[in-house]
Amino acid sequence: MTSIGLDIGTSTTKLIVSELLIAQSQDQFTLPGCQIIDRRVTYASSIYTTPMVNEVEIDVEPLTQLLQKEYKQAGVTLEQVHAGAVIITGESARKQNAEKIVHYLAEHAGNFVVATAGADLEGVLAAKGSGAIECSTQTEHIIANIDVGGGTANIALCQDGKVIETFTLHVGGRLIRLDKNGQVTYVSSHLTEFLENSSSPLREGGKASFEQLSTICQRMAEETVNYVKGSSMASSLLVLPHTRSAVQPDSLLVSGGVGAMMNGKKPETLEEVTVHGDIGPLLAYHFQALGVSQAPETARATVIGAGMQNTEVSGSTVYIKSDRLPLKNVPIVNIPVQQEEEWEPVRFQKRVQQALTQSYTLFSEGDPPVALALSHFPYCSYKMLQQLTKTILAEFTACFKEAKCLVVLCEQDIAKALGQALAKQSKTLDIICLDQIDFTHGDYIDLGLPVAGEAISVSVKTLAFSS
Amino acid sequence: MANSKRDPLESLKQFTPARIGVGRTGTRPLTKDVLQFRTDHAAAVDSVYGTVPEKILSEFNLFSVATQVESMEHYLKRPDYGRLLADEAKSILQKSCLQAPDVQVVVSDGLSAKAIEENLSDVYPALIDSLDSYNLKIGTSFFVKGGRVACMDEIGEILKPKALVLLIGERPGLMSAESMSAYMCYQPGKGKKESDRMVISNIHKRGTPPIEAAAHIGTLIDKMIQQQMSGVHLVI
Repeated sequence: MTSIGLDIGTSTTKLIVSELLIAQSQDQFTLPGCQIIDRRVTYASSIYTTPMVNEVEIDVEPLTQLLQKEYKQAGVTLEQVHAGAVIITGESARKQNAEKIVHYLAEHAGNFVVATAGADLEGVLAAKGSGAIECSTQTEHIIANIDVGGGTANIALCQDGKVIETFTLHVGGRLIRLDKNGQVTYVSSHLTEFLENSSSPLREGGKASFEQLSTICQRMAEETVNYVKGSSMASSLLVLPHTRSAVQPDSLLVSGGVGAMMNGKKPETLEEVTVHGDIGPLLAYHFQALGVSQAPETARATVIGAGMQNTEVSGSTVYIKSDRLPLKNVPIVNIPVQQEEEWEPVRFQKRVQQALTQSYTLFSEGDPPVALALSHFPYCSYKMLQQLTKTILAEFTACFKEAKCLVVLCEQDIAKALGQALAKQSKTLDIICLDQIDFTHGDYIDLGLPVAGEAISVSVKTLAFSS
Repeated sequence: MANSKRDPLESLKQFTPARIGVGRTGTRPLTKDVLQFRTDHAAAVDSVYGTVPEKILSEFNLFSVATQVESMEHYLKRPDYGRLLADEAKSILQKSCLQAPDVQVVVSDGLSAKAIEENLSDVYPALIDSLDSYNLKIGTSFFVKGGRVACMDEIGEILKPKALVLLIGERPGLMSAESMSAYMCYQPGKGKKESDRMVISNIHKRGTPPIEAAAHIGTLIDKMIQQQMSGVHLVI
């Protein structure tokens, strides 16, 4: 399966092509299963400067040409692309940009490519792509991946191959831009509060000295590292309010464009700092000076994460009685099945009712309107299955009267039994029931076509764009 | 604040219910492990010598027939007798069962009565639902006491189903004494080889999920009937 990853960031745009190898488990005696056993990057583009119309708006025309050229060079055609993700990151993740790009993608990037953004997911993808998550499976340590790009730093704390916490800071190489004489051309408004505490404030149009920039970068790196380490519990640079948990990472890795510059020596002059017209190299140096290591994969971490890691396969014993696939942008509604000690059908019914009524106000247009994601699934007996099915159907049809298609997701291997039970009780709805899907980090799901046997490819993401 | 570090041995133990890293005192295992071992062993023995409660069988209207086995000792020493039905059983099947259904479902205690007791009430109704969902004609289900897997061949000769599912208690181990298998065969009869049979094994609460196994059996049976074969040649 060919998968594309495209990362459109504040400062740079890059593309990778990867091959995902899917294998069906060969054991004759158990239920069949299938999983992605190998993910391999087959092509990596050069790193381009993101074409911009002005400070905030992406110029789609040159971007289109750039991608066409890269597809050609990689030797892939649109028909071959079965999966992948376009991730629009950092400050470029604005709605007007996103919509334009999505519109373009429908025609030019391949049908199964998912458009996705959202700071949480970026952090997760970067941690996957940088190698931090893999490192965390090999050691006992908690590893923090700090993906520092042009506009934001996405942080993911990883333990045991899983992301346990994410947050984003306004820390990036291009938040302050200047020419080689120290003439400041741009200061991000996100830095206002941070810079006010500085002794000699920086102004657009003003001049900055090397020492001044060095102090700012040092403080920026220190504040980042202290917050990530958990030694300070607040930061004026946070993008969204965040309550820092008590988790303290054992080691810190930096990826992203700034991470890539960490092997350089200390810039000594303004000229050396401003090779890219920004403070990137100096910021990189100050991370290095704090003893933070460079991640195995740096500038391409997010794009690799997006292209290779965003796609998963569902379980092999699933239930799909519908010709509606592929489906895109289905909102996920999480409903815990059993939060109590015992299975309590009445409480479950209340939860379903509440969750669906709530989601009805937000998503009543699509069909399927939502995907019901059942979490906290205990051991399920036949009796419980019957009660569960009845409740889901009753509440779903009561809430979404027009819907003709019901999508149910679960983590445990139960989808076929659940699907059959749902179909038995409802002759009118199209039922799609999938299992072995980890939906903890997502708000929306894209369902692809079958890739091996009954298993289908899925992408869970945090943000959907109108398409 | 220090992070709570996991003990590496503990994380390895998560991979298996086997008795690893249990420790010792001097040259001997700890008392609690010896007791646990003996408890598990006793449970395994009990499940072999146990009987399936009548209540469970009557709940699903399963009547009982016997094989040529005379006692549990006989069953254990002579597996061949467990493959043959008693003469009386043959005539009961002739009389009371639907002939030539699409699917015949048979339940047997095999080596673990406990397996049937624990899992039948989840697997059996889910299996019937699953077969129904494929619009298959289901025969008259029954219970075989003292059966071995290959008893399905003789049943096949008498009832001529297109496919047969045998839910049978597995040889108990020290991990689980309540594990059930589902053996399946297309047109079972004399001369069928082991390679013609298929199995979903390890069905119990902590193993293959019972209702999902049942749902999958329906899919397999449907494929067998469509492809008119079973075993290693079936395209799944």
